[in-house]
Amino acid sequence: MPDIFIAEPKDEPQTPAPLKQPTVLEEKAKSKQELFNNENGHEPSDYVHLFSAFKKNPQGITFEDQEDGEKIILFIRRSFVTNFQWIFIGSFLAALPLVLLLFLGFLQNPLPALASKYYLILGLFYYLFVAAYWYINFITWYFNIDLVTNKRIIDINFANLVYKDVAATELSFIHDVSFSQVGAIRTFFDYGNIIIQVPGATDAFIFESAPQPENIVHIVEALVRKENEPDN
Amino acid sequence: MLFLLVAARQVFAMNKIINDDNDSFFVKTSVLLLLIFAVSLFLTALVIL
Repeated sequence: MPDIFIAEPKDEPQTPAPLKQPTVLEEKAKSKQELFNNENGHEPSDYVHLFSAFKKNPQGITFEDQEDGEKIILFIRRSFVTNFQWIFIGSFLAALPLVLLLFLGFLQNPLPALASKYYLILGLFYYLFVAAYWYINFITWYFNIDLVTNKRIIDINFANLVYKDVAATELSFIHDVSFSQVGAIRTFFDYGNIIIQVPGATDAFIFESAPQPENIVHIVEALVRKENEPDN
Repeated sequence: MLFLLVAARQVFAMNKIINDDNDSFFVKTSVLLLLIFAVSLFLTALVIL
């Protein structure tokens, strides 16, 4: 009896392997890809996602008073690095009750004057506060947007939940574009302030903590140059 | 709760100024969920107290 482990393989005719049927997951992925590659042929990377800070020729973004034929060239938010402070503070606040419970023996006698049935409500109120803190900081970053279109620049400021300010100027009015990048952190993470001077305006347009400032300045300068060409 | 109401109002107002087709749903839903959580927590606290 031949040992099956050392037996010579039989010379059987190679039959072609049956074609692999796509799985449900593969079909879903394909349809999602087709969804993103819509009729305009845009790639998924063209779309601005929740944490995008810089996108060139973004898709899926519209703004109030957008004119016909006006196309967004640059979509800019503050660099995501600027969010680390509130993320850290929020995480600390979220972990604080757990640390108190674990290390300080808070569990034995947390608040003597309070009945035990209120602990849960108190804890939930505390975490509601932490969630609100996170959310407010997130939307403050999320709605602070600067747009450069083929016709103008738009600076949308949103702060402290009750302050919002939208300023816009046409590209032809732009006098000077420059950027400042001061400090080790800004240099390391490549973000800085972009200052756009407009004659007659009391304040310059400032894109604060914008990522890739040098790149943005080059693009805006090129657009302004193109706008100011005699043909236009 | 009033704070979250103001936040919700501002989120919906800002979404009119700048609209992101992909993410506006997430941002709006988040604030509504927070608001629902706050209201239910407030009512529960009222009942318990």
